[in-house]
Amino acid sequence: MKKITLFLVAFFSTLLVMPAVTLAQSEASETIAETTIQTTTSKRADRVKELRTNLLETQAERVAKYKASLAEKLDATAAARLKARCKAAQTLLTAFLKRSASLGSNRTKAYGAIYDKLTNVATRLNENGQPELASEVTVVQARLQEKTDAVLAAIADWEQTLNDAEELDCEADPEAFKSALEQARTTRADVAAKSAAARSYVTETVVPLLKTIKTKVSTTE
Amino acid sequence: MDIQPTSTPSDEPETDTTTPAAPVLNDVTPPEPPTPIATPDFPAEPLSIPMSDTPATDQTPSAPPVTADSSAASPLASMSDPTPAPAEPLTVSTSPMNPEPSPSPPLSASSESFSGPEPTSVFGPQPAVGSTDMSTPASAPVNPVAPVHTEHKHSNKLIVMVAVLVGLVLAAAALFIYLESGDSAEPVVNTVTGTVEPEETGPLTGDNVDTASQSITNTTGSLDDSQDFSETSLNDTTLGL
Repeated sequence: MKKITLFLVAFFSTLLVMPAVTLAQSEASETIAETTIQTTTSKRADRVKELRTNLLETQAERVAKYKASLAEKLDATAAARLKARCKAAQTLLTAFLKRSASLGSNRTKAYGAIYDKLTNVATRLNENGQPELASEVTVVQARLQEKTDAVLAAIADWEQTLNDAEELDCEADPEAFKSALEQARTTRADVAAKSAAARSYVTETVVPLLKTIKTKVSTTE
Repeated sequence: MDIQPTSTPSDEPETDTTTPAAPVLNDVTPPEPPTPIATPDFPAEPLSIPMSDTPATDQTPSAPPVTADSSAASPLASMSDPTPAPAEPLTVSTSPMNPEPSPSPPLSASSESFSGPEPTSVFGPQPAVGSTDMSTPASAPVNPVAPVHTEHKHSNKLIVMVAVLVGLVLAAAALFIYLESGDSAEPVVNTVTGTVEPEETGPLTGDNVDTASQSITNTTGSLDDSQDFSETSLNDTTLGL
């Protein structure tokens, strides 16, 4: 009986350890694969954080800021109308936030991919003995990064404002809800503009530069 | 067993008299109910009733089966001492482990109720004696022992079954986690290749630059601003305000 007990204990302890080992292996592989991304992403995240304008710690502070930026104060009629309908609007905001939850991370990965491509090109141009072309790529890369970081910062501000609008007690303070919603709309427009600017920079500056470099590299081959 | 002659005068008449005189004494002693539990189905109730007298004298819970085996032993058990009963079983339990060193049958008789197989070897040579006193010669000691074994076996089986079930659950969990990690590995690889494609090394060629340019264009084209930052997503009409 003791042998059976020992066998069972060993068997179950092995089974208990197996998932942990499996998890550790998978996490290790993922860690190795994403090391490059994380190092660059963490630096980028710091820069994006510096660019954010809606980084007040408490919601009360942010709401005060929203209210201060509200152009028109709510009259009694508008407040009553908002009180009656804001809960349903907040439900729609919740759904919208869920749909756009991965928006920031997707943009971060996409911009990171472009950044890494340009880094690779610049590095290999240096290896080719073409530092002038490499420096051109580096300059363009830095300008593009400024633009993409601005986009990511605006997205973070936008999501923060949307979260505030969703979480506020709109029936108790309809003006706060209204001001947060207006701020979210303003930030959305800012995000769209900055994203368009980054896109146009890629299509109008980065891609043409790469075509030029291709021609020069091809002639020197 | 040889010490049978030594007996209290009060016990001897009880064992000898299976006549109605004994029930009178039984009525006096209250702890008789346990005896019918040992042999509930046996027809010889008057015989079992006088036997219950000896357990009353022994004042031990295991007394009924003991008296059932040997009427001569029961008076001895009562003779030995009612009070030392708790201390003696300990010494007896060690003695039955040895083949036959125990010269004191009454002590072994009290230990029979605790150890199943060994008492049968001790009392093996005395089936007739037990049959004289008890209506059921051998079934009485077997009945109290058998349930203990079955409970033990049942508990062991239950433990094994529970252990096997837990093992299956854990194995299923491990398999699930393994498959889950396998599934999640693909997206990770995809995202990695989407963000950091395998670093091309070596001298840069025109084709490499063209490939990089095409990749950047594709990445930029995959970002849909009109869908991600739609103006209508937050207007009053959409939100029902």
